[in-house]
This record gives sequence, structure tokens and C-alpha cells, in this order.
Amino acid sequence: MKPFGFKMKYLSCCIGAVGLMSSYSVAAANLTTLNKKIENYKTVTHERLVEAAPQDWLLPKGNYEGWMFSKLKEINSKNVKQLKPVWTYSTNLDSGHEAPALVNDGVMFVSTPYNNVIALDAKTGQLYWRYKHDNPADLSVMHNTSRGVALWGDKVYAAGLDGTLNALDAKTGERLCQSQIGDWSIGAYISSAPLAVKGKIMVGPSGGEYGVRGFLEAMDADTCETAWKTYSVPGPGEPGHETWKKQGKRPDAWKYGGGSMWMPGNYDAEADMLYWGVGNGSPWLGDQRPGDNLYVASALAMNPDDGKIKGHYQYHYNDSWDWAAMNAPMLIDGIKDGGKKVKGLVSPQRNGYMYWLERKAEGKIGYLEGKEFVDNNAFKSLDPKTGRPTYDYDHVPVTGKRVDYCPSLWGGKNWPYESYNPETGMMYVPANDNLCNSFIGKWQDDIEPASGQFWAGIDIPELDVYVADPSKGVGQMQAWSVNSREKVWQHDYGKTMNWGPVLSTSGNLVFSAGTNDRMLRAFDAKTGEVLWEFPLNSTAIAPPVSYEVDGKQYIAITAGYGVDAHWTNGVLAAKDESGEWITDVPEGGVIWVFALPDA
Amino acid sequence: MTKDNNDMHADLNKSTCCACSQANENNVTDNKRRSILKYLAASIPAANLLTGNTALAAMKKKSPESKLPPQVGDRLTYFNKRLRGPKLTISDLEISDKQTLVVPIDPNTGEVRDGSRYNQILLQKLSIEHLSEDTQKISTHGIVAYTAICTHNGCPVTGWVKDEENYMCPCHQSVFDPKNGGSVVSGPAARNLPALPLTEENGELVVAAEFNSWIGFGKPPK
Repeated sequence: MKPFGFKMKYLSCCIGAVGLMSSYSVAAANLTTLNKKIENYKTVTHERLVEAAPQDWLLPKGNYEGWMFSKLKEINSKNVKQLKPVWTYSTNLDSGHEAPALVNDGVMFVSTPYNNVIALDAKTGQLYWRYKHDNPADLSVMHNTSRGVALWGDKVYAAGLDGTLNALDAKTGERLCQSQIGDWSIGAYISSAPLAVKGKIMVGPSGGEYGVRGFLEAMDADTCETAWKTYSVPGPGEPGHETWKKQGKRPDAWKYGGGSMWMPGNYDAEADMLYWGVGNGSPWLGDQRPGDNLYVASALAMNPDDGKIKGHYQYHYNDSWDWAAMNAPMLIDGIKDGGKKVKGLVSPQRNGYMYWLERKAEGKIGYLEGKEFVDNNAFKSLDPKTGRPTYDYDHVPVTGKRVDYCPSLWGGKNWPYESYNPETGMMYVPANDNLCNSFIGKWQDDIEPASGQFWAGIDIPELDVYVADPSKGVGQMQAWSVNSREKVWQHDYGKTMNWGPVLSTSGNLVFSAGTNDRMLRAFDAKTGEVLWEFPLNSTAIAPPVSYEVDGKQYIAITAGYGVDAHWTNGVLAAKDESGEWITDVPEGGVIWVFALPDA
Repeated sequence: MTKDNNDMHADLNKSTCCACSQANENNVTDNKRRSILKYLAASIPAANLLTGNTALAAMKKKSPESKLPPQVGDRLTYFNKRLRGPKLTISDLEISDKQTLVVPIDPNTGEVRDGSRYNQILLQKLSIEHLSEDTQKISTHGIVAYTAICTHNGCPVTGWVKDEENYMCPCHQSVFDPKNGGSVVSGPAARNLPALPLTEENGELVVAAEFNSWIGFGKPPK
């Protein structure tokens, strides 16, 4: 191991006053600790991102299609019991670690809560550099996490909770330029991983609980200048604006109607089309913003060159449950629809339904089928032709009345990524069933929207989260056949929620953590049998990934419990009378890397 | 004002004005700095057109006085810009209404000190008999004031637990007791909500002393 005694890399001073410019090109001082410069760094190109070679993990979900799948199979269902940790690295931070490790030719990049970026040797765990982002001293955000970085050229792109998007030199960690994307002081902070597409870096801020109008912005990878910005809520004169009816006490509800695009999208390289998810409406109560409210709770098809919206599919109209559709659908070619095969979009959604959609010409999105994968008591049915739900208004939250509904506001599945394995033809879904909540809708006129204050239309102390049947658990892993559209197997985790993104591999394996017992598990991808499990230092809610260095396959995951996963566990553990719900889950970020013993 | 508070706000100003402070730290030449400022001035309008960051630009135009922590003698006014202006009086508050989000206002200049999030304050009137002895000493007519900034993660503590008369942070559910010095009742917060002692003059609510602890979360400011 190289001894400590880091050589401090003093970087030149920033030249832009934060917020006064969209981009500025020299970094602030003392942000990066350089231990060892990366030599022979392999440039990330469009071709490499499209190819998604199995030895690397260059994108948040492994490939542009969003599959969370690795073709590596040295580690397989026959030998996975021999899997052992080969190195660990403490991030030196608490709270929720939600970033996948990106790996480029043996170099690993991990981002952390409060926006550190750590570059490591993926084989040994030795540090190359650590960048500590200069968030403002009085910054606070609801979710202080980072869901990963983007790689392009010889740079690493990291969003900041302060709404910035920063370009770092991949070899040294030096900040080269940045763009101010969102205004954190109004609630538009960034936790999303950026996505690199054809020389542009795209990211959207959060803010659906703060009265922020959502958008996606693309930044030029070289200059950090804004390339385009597209709002998820159309303004006057734009298609869809008419779905924000100018009725009631807030005729201008569209201005702060939410629709944050707070998770990375997917990309169809052949059709040159982005597919991005749009979050919940703001405030949560739909009766405070009459109309269908496009494009809240929708999937969007967008032109990556100019950001223009080419098509959309709204999963449910006038969202009133905080059922954000922030996760983009997976792109799967050749899925069966009757007697034909179509280019599909498949997505298990927060509203508890699984959707099969079709990618049509020019970005149009067609509906094929929707199926309930956890109990949803607010939808009576879906229209067989359009998928538009019919609501049971006993379970649609409204202003001034306590209303209960299932699944809870965290949904049948939250942000943790599902996985699609083309070899089993199955998708693997981290689900939460049997969990409901109720609240009283509030008209918040004491606080203005987009003022940096919680503006969801409820008073949090009046939120009641509960397990519908206390004798049963909540967290599940569900495996569904993409073509038969039927569930093949299900694993019940018991008295815990499941906040674990999923990785599947050609080794007939499914890896996932996310439960309050701190376990990382490997399932048989075909049968659901648990083949291996290992207790981490803390529960991992980050995506597991796989990569290869010098011909050896590794599995990497960062443990570190926090944010919603942590506090929902506390709430549910406090209510549990069975004594089976684990209360004490330690925090602390640690990158874990596993491999088989050398032969 | 305590040294801690002064230092904290100095840090804050530094972080929000990195161009000037860090240029000094790094011995950037005056010439270079002038060229930087020239570049900045030329870039601002175009940048704002591109990104619509006018709100950001406006935020950064706040005066140094607006970033000072509450000063002894300051009055209080509503955080809500639609309501902002009047100096709050004892009679503006009803017992056990939900806490109100307010900010300090300089009584001489009328400047609202909203240049830092750390100046967001929770104001509330409670029954005097519900207040602990120590809390009564920092209150006036049953009116208490605490920082709005949660000591766990810095979110504004705007949730109101009516039955217990407590505050709850909407981000991670830390609960604080305003009747007992802002003490932690439950949740992940590790220390009390700092209190802002109040008095009154001619019915107006007046800041009587600085916050009784540092504002923010994590480690105390150096």
C-alpha cells in the first residue's frame, strides 16, 4: 500500500461568483486531495458507452438501456458460495450512500453524501484522489445523497447538492469547470447521477416537495455551458399546458407544480432518443392543481440534441399520492405483444403497477399493458387500450380530510433500480407491499412555494405510515417474465422494507441488499433461491455493480444506510409489536468489493 | 454576538463569495482579479438568459447586513414575502397556533436579515404555565423563538405536533420541545434547537440576546 502523506493538490481559484453565471471554468482551491495521478486513463467515448463492455461499468445502470445487467459469469450460481470480500474502503461519511461504483478500465469512481467523489484502483482499493465539493455552509436539503457520477472523455461529472454540475479531471480530480443548474435555496438541489450522451451531460434537480417546477438541463461536456433546458411542466403556448386548468385558488399552479426529473434517464442510441422519468406533482394534493398535469408522473421521450419533448406516457393523471415516475423505463427490444415483437419500454412504477409500453417512431410511446405488482387500492382498473386508471376516490388524497392509500407514498418500488436479464428473460424488482399511509391534505398559504420550505401540502406529524397486515412483512424481490408478463418467483424479506437496487449477471445470479439486516444477497436468477449472503457494516442502498480487472470478476457495492430508508425503518420498527423488526441499523459508508478466491 | 456566531457567518460569506475570498487566499494578482471581474460582468446577462438563473443572481445580491445573525434589538417579521414588512407584536400571535417562520429586521434601517438560511426563526406563543422555568426566562409573554434550522441535517423544522406542542422536522422527523428549551424529544437530532431570547418594547417583539448555541448541524464551526 502506498503510504499516506498525501500530496495536496492546490487548485487555482474559482473565477465565478456562484449563481451569477451559468458556467465558470476554473475550480476553487483545496477541493481535491491527490494521492496518485491516474496514468493511461482510458478515454470514454460514445462508442464505448453504447457498447457497455462487461469489464467496465461506465453508466449508472450499466448500459444505456437501463438494465443493471452484467455479462460476466466467472462468478455464477455454482460457485457464488465462495464469494469473499477482497477490499473495503471507508468513505468517512455517514448517511445514505446511493451511488453505484462506476468502473473504467480498472479505475473506480464513487460519489458520496455531501458530494465527495473518490477515485480508487478497482483491483486494490488504493486511493487515487478524493474531491470534496464546496457546498455552501448553510446548505440543507431533504436528501443529502448522491446517486453517482457520469464519465465522458477524460472527465468525471459530479452534481452538487448546491445545484451545480461539476467537471473534474479524471486523472487528478481537479475541478475544471461547473454549471449552476438548480437553485438549492428554493429547493432545487441535485441528488441525481448525471447522464453523458454525445458530449452533453444531462441532469435534473429535485424539488417536488418544495414547489419547484421540474426540468432537465444539458451541459456541454467541454465548456460547462448550458446546451439546453426543458421543463417537465409545459408553459403557456406549449403542448400539455392546457392540462393545468386555471381553476380554483391557484390558477398558476403550473409554475410550481413539481415534476422533478431527479433520476438519470435511459437512451436509445439507435433511434437517438432519450427516455426520462418525471416525478410527483407539487404540492402532493391533486385538488390544488386541477387537470391531468402533464408531464407529472410520466415517461418522456426527448431529443438529446435540443431537449425537445417528442413523446410521453402519463402513468396516472393528477398525481395525488407522491407516486413519482422518476425512474425511466428500461429499453428492451423484441418483447412479445400478441403475435408480434416490438421495441419495448418496461417499468415497475412507484404506483404499484408494472407497465409494458412500446417505443414508436419519432418518440411516440404506446401502451401495451399494465399489471399490479403490489396492492394498490386507489386504482380500480386500467383502461385496456390506454392504461389510464379509474380512481377509487376513497383513496385519493384531498385537501382538508384524512385519506389512506396503498402502496405508501414511497410506492410499490422507489428509486432503487430494477434489473433486466436478457438470458433469463426476467426483470427483478425491489418491491414493497403491505405498506400504506394516510395524511390530511393542507392548504399551505403560510409558506410560499419555491422558498426553500417543505411545501408538499401536508404537515409531516400528521403522516401515518403503517403495515396493512402486521403479521406479514413488506420488502420483496419479485422476478417477472418480460414476455409472459407473469411473476415467476418472489422472495419475501419479512419485517423490513427493501431499498436495494438490483444487479443481475450472466452467472445466473441476482445481487441485492437494501434490507435492515445489512445482508448483501445473491439469488439464483431462475428460481429465487438465496445462494449466498454476507452481512455488511451497514445496510447498502446503493446499486451493486460488476466489473473485471486482469481477467477477474468483481462485485462492488457501497454500504451506508440513511435518508428515507433509515427513517422509514425507524417509524415502522417503533410500531412493530412482533419484535422482528430490526431497529438498530448502523450508519457509515464503506465500499465493499467481492471476488472468488484465486484458483 | 459570540465569536462562534461571527466566525460562522464569516465562513458563510466566504462560501457564498468564493471568487473574492479565495482569490485573496491564493495570491491571485490584482490584474488577474480585474480581468476575472471583467469576465464576470460580461458573462452575467448572457448566463442568466441561458439558464433563467435570475433568482440565483438576486439571492447573491443580498447585502452583508442581511447576512448578519439576529442582532440584539432586532425586530421580527414574516419569512413569507407576501406577508413580510410589519414588525411582529405580542398581539399578532395566538396561543398554541402552529409555529410561524420569521426573520430578523433591523429596526433602524428596515433591512430584513434574510441573506442567510441560518436567520430563519420559529416563533410561537405558548401558555406560560406550559413553559419550563428556564424557557420562561428567554421568552416574553409566553412567546418563544428558536432557530428553524434542524440540528440534525439543517432542514427548516416546520412540522407542528399539536397534541404534544412539539416541533417536527419534515426531513427526518426529529422532534423538539419548544416548551423546554428546544430539547430533543425523538429522532436523529443530537442537540437542542438553539433558542433566541426575546423581550418586548411597546408591544413589539425584540431580540434580547444572540442565539444560545451555534446554528447548523454536524460539527460546531471552528
